[in-house]
Amino acid sequence: MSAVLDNHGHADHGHDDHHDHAPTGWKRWVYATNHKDIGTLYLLFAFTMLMIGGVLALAIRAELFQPGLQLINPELFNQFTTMHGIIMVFGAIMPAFVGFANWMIPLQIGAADMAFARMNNFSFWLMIPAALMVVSSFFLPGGAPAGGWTLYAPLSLQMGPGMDSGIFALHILGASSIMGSINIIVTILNMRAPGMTLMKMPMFCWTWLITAYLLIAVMPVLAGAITMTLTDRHFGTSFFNPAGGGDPVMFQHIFWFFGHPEVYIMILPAFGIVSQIIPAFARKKLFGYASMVYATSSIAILSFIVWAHHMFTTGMPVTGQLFFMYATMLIAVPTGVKIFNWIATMWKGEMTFETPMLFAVGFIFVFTMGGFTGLILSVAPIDTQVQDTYYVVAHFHYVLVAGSLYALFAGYYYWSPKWTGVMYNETRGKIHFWWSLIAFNVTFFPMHFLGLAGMPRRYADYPMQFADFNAIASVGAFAFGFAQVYFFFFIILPTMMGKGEPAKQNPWQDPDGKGAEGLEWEVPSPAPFHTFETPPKLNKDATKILAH
Amino acid sequence: MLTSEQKKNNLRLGLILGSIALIFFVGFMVRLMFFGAAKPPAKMTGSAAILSAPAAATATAPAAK
Repeated sequence: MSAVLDNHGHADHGHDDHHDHAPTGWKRWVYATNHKDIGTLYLLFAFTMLMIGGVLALAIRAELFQPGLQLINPELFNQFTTMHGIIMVFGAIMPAFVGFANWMIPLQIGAADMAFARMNNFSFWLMIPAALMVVSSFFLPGGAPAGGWTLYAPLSLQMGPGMDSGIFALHILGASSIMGSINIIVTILNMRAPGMTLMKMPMFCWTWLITAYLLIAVMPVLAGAITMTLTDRHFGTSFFNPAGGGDPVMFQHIFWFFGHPEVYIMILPAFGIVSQIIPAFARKKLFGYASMVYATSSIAILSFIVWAHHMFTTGMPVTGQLFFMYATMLIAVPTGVKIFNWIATMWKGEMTFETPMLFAVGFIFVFTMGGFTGLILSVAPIDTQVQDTYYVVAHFHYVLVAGSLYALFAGYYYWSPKWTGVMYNETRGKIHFWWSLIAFNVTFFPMHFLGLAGMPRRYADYPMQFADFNAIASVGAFAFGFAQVYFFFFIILPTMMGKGEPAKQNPWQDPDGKGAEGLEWEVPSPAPFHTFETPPKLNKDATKILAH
Repeated sequence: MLTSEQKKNNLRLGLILGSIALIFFVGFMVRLMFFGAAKPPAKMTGSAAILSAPAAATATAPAAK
């Protein structure tokens, strides 16, 4: 890997590589200011956290394999569900997308690096103590936070020091996210190569630009809410403490004002990745580029006015329910525009189905199912029936696993030749895809039935009537977990070690020039340590370099 | 490499964005600390009442008649 292990001797072919001297040893990573190195660090960190969160998920599924209490007691079960959510959201999915942003945004816009290289380093290294605090909270008196990843009051006010540890960790992760977002916005707005106008920018950069604005708007709100939780816990305030006249429902409003845009923070960059991959493998331009940009912006804006659909059962006025119900339904319109555009891009395209395309098409199928159940849940009377049931668990896993995680896999297969300089093994990639797709659906599809039958979430035990579907879901979960172990040992690790066929500069382009386009494919594989140190001169579409 | 002009522009935009985040963080807590949660005025109708009206007032209004 150019930015992981070594340059495999490719670097001397590049047109940007006359200063291609990468630092070596541990200092390279601790003092890293190169966007590619920091991107790699983020991706490795995210995968580690994915594995930790995954182990917690498997412990949950093992306990739920059959009715009764077998492996873990209910208190530990609640800690596992809470920490699974926090780790996956803040430790795995978000950092993984930031890793992609670090690697790809400067390459795609023709910038030498991120705008604030040292702050970039700081953003990453803040995540390590935060992750340690989160994970080590299991060993504090009273254990880890156990009130759900939403940290609802009054549960969050009653727990032991593990909650303080979790709150501090979220503060740190929030600060890291805000710094990362500032870096991304400034890089995109100020450091594009001449000729790379905003409306010629790759969709991945567009989706990240909008995501970064979302992060800057909502992360401080989460930070404020958990700071007030902290003062309620230790300094005698009663913002959310009903015992002192506080309002726990207010916490829910504030949390979901952050929480719903957070959902889009985790899915918009996924839309960007899929929007890069589908045109490459359909060998066509992206259909409706401008409408994609406007749809992404619309989703982001609408995400601020739908938060209370998470709270339909809190005693909200009917008028409030109607407002949030209709506003939520409205999001289906720009989302539908996107899905229409992806399908229209594929329509009459010269499609091939290499692993990145398989994951991208899989994303569209399965994410759309999650989107539909989201639309069903937006209907207040239905939501009232299935609130806090496994139907909701199925819905958001269809969106976040088959959505965000599949897009991350797609992005890895698509861009890893550029990162590592070698091609992954295509057969293994396809095995990973089909294994993951089947196992995912075996795990989460039965949860729809469980939810509709009334099985509540966040319980360690359940009545006998739910046994069959739970057993199926647990088998699927273990299969899905092992698929990711396979992914690491048989796909990631070999490419990191440079095992595989050398990757061409643009491995996704046919001899007739059709396929992947963009500035990232204009530099050698693996990408040299330094790229675009002098701003490149671009063609009319800003997809090719004419001269340096 | 970045010119000093580019660095200055980057710093300015970075500080603007950082200030926005800081204002959201502090402003939102100050709002709740010193002004409390939103309270409905005596006479309020339409969308302004959506978040603030007590649930029972709207949910049971027709039945009360």
